[in-house]
Amino acid sequence: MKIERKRGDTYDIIISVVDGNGDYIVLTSETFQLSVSSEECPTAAPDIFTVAGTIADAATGKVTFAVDGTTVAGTYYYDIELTDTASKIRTIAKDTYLVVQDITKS
Amino acid sequence: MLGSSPLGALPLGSAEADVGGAYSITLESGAYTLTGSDLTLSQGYKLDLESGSYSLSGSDMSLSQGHKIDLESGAYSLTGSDMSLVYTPVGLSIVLESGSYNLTGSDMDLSQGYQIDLESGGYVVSGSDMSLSQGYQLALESGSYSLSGSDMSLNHGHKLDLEDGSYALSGSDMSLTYTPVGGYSIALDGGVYALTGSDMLLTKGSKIVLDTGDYSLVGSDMSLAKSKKLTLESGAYDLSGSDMTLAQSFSVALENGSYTLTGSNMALIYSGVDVLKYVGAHAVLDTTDYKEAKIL
Repeated sequence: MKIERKRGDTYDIIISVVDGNGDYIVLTSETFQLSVSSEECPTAAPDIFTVAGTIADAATGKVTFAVDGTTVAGTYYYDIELTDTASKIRTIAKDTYLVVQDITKS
Repeated sequence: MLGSSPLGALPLGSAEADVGGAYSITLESGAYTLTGSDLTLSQGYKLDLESGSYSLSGSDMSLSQGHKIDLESGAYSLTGSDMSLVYTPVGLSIVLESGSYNLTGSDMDLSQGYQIDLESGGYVVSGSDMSLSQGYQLALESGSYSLSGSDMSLNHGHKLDLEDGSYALSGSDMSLTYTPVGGYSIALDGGVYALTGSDMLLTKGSKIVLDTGDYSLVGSDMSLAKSKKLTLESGAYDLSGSDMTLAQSFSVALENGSYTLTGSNMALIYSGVDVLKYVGAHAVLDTTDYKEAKIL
């Protein structure tokens, strides 16, 4: 699941968490984290940014991540981790994070 | 032959009173005293006591096969040491209608097929080593009852139905044992109950269903064994005990209400998070709100 954004865009990244059958997972008190790195296989903490997710609609597994739009254009790598109610961590998405150069400067 | 005496006390003879087969005594309203050592009420015997005040007592009083006692409204007292209520294929029957009764006895043996029906009223059933044997049934309708005894044993196939009312069941080493026929069952309808006992043992297949009401279940070393089920519907409950053990496959289902579960060393075994919930979990981008612009 590639993520592509224009530099400077600040709209939230919104995901829905689904199970193997494609059905929404009803969220309770799970936590989420989006991490973006310049390296595909980093050995240290992500060097671009990390942001915690917010459960926007528990019934439909909807989670939002607020992104500030300051990341310079380039190709990056990301993953999203889900920490369940038993404090177990699952990576539910991992792919490239592409920031395309925009035109407007303000 | 003894007859009826409707107008006063009828002291029966003691050891010489031989009331043989098919003999009948009918006592109408009044006050009577039947006493005797080794008083024998033999086969086919029937004793009808109408409204009044009676006292039946005796050591080694034997109520044998086919015997029936019907007690109508009044005040009665049945006491005896080693009082034996024996099995009959039809089932020995004691029917106590509204009134006030007192059934007491040491080593009172309520054998197979025996039935006691207690209708509305105030009753006290007590005994040390009171044994309620196979197929025994005790049905208590609305009223106020007290069942107590040391080593009260409720055996195989026993059934206890308690309707609306106020009850107290207590006993040391009260044993509620297993039966393959659906398991032991206690059904308590709406009301106020107190179940207490030290070393109260609720064994395999046992089931307690508590409908709406106020309950208190307490016990030291209360053991709720494998596959035991406790279903508590809406109401107010208090379950407490020291070293209360809820063993494997034990289930507590608590619906809306107010509950207090307390205990020292109360073991609630891991049931786990619903790990299956996350099988195959993955994220999909939500593109509903943010579509790219297209030139029309």
